[in-house]
Amino acid sequence: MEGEDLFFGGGMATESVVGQKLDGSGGAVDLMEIARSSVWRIETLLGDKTVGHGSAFAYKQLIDSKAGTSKVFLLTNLHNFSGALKNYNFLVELARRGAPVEALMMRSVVSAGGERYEFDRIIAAKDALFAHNRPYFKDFAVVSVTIPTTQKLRMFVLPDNADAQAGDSIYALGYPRDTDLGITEGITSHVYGDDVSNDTYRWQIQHSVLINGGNSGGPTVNRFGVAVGISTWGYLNENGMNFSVNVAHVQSIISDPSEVEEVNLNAVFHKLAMRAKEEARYGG
Amino acid sequence: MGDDSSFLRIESLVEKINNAPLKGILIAQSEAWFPYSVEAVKLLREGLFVAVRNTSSVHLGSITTSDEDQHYSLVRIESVETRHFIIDQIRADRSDVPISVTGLLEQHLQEWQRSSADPEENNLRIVVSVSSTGLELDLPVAAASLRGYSMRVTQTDGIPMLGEITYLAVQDLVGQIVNRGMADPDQSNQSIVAGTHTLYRSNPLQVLIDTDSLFRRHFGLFGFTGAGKSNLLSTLISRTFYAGQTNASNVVLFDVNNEFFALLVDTIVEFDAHVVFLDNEINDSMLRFLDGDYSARDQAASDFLRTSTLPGPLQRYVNTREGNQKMLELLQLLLSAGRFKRFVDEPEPLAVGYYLSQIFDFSESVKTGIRGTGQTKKREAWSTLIEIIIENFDDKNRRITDDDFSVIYGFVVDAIGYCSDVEHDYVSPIEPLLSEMLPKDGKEKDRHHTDLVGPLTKLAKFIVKLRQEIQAPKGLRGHSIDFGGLLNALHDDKRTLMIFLGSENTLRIFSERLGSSVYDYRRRTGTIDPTTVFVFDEADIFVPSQNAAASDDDKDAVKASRKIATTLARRGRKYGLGLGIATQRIAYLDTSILAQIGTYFVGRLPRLTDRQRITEGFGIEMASLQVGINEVGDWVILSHTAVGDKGSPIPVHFSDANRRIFEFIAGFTQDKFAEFLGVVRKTDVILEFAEAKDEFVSAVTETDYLP
Repeated sequence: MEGEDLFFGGGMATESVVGQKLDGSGGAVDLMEIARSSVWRIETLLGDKTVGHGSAFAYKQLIDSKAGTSKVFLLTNLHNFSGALKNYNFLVELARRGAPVEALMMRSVVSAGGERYEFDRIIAAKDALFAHNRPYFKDFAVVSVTIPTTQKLRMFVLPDNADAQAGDSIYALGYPRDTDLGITEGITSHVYGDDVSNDTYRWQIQHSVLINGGNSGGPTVNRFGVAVGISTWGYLNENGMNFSVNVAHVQSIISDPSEVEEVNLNAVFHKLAMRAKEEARYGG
Repeated sequence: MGDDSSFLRIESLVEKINNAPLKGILIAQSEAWFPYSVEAVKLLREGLFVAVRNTSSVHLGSITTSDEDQHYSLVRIESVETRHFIIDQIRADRSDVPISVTGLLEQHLQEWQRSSADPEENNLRIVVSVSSTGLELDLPVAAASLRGYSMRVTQTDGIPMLGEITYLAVQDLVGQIVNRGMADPDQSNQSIVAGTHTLYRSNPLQVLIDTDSLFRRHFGLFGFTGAGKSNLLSTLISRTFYAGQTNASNVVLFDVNNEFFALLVDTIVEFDAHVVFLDNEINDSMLRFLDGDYSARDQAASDFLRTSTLPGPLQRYVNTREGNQKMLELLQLLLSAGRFKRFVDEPEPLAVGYYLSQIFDFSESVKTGIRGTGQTKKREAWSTLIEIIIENFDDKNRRITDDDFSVIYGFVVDAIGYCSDVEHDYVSPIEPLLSEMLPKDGKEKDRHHTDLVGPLTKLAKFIVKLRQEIQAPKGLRGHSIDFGGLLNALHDDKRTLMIFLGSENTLRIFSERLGSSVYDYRRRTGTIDPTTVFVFDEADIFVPSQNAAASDDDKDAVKASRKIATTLARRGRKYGLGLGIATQRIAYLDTSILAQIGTYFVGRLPRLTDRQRITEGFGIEMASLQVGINEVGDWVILSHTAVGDKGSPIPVHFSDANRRIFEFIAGFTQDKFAEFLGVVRKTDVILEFAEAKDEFVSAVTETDYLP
């Protein structure tokens, strides 16, 4: 079956599932159908409280029939996780005033079908997480979670280079603000490659789809169900000037394991809290 | 008549030789003669003061002597010449009679070696030419205790009386003249010790200057190459910052040669200071750092040090291993603390302080709606929350970033979470603080936390709205400052030093933009404080003479800087804005600006034309312009407003700024600046985590994620 592999080895049955292209006739309705299956909400929790959220989309599913589980791989924005670092100054301030920041535990989860699945590692471009001046084309992360189902997900397809074209209709799917899954529509204005005068636009797709906080990390797809971009940023109050990271370029990075690294988020969050406590003590 | 203890006699205020007052006689309005002795020659020097009784001592209708109030005109010694009567005649005659020099020596040598104890020699005298200071020494005799003073230096209209005894004033009296009307420096005024009088080196006489007058009425530094102009400017600025009130006087300096970072590094460390790059003519590492790449910090420090202009002694110290390390450590600290910034030209104000003040104003309006049971406690808790938000930001004049909004918003969300009464397993960091102020246990009537949910939600929405107003891409990063930030910094409650770096034309054009913005703002709002002085180093670049050669590109830029310098010089004073110029190329300076300058600092000027320009500009005799300048660091202060002895040259020795800077750098340790360390730690968390990434990061081994 197109888009699936069957691998048998060592007594384990693992089926790899990816997305399939649409014929383009179904429009937003078909796209929403796929999104309900594979576009998930991603959250950072402090206790039970959500302190940050965005969107993510599955691009590959490894079904383990024997175990009755699936390992799902999703793409999202890296900046959905670097929020903890931004809160550092406040942690220090609170620690100075006696708050037990060492009890701080941030968790990262994806929500699908009412269920939450926790994860503590991501794959990101090398040296991207702690970079202050991270270029937008490195603002991506791969997340993997294991879900207790072998049901095949309907997913968007990852693109070839030619899939993003100026003039194409384009859609953004995700969870803006605290709403449920939503879709917005626009048109692709420009597809930037490597040859740009302004580094900000390198490997970005410029389009007119409205995206809001919460859309970050969700797929920007064309009418054929190809996830050409990861909804990432825009000029506030400038209509028609929003940007998605070009997924074709992301693929070229993640295809080379030497260009990426695995980050232990729990270790980062824990050290942040301990560091804040130490600084609060030093500052007296 | 009072007894001796209630009034002073002139003899106690004048120089003595062998316990007897040195006395001369006023033989003409501008000339006094003193009996010759070697001791007298040593004491009588140009620039000192002589006291001679004036007509104010005489009451019309009666001529008396010592029983009347004594008024002594204080006149300045302009020149001292020792004359030998016979030799004068020989010189005047110029006859063909042969003169034996050896004979003269044998005949008169003993005369020339005459001391004051010897019998007076009729052929010799010391001729002292004097000029009026317009001041007198007032020594009341009658009812001194009722007057409230036993002596004072004051303005006079009395005329020195011919034939009266002339006395040489002692150091204390000279001190009262040069510092007349000046307050002793303390926290309540802006008086500083400029330096010490050059004619009193062994027992220093401090000369005071009022920095507020100095800046408001404009000042100029004029000295030949090597006179120490930059050194002097550093001393003046540094002393101004370390003295007096905390919110007085800002200094804005346009630094053409990138030399003032080193010369003012102590001031930059200890006060609110911004070193601002105006264009991209900076090292790549510094550019990267200022754009937010904190990993470039150490390279930026190293490259900046390499390209800064350091004075010779400091450069030699920095060339040593210890000096280099110290200086780099300092630079790294200052970089991390955000002292270095890029200027960004944005149409709307983006300073952190601008948004914090809006949040504060909004929160105050929300607070008035917090009522009901426990109102006081609830409002106090509200105020504390807002205070935490505001106190989190050290540098409120820098440009706000997207991260800042996320931080503020996240904090408010945390607070909503606590107040919403949601049960959870983990303890939020803000809980202990809020639970102290708004405990959840206890009687129903004492639990008020839920009442804050509404106000907090309103605040959260307001923050989102504020963020949406920014017409800029998300992800603002780095260290930058815009016009709004600069204006704020010059009008807040801290004295601020700004050093601008850039190419000549960039500095010229920017000086006009900034100066005009500040001037227009103050004119519009009627603001006159704090005093802000715009200092143009190498002023001939900014205000060149009209016929100075300039390329077409330069001409527009020069037009701009000349315009603002003229505006400041002519009209700035009304709004507390001053002009400072420093140059060694007086010949290239537009000297029409000299007429506006209230205080001149004049160093060694070998060229006659330069001296002529200065004396014409200030309005004094050229002869006194270089009196007392003997060593490096000696300058003459001429001021109509900022010193005690107004309008007269005061020779002052200024301490060496190199020494001050050297001592500061050599004695620098990070521990001395704990608040800095706090800032450094906060902003370097990212760097630290990046360096410790092995704790969190590993190579990817499983490749099942591959598409």
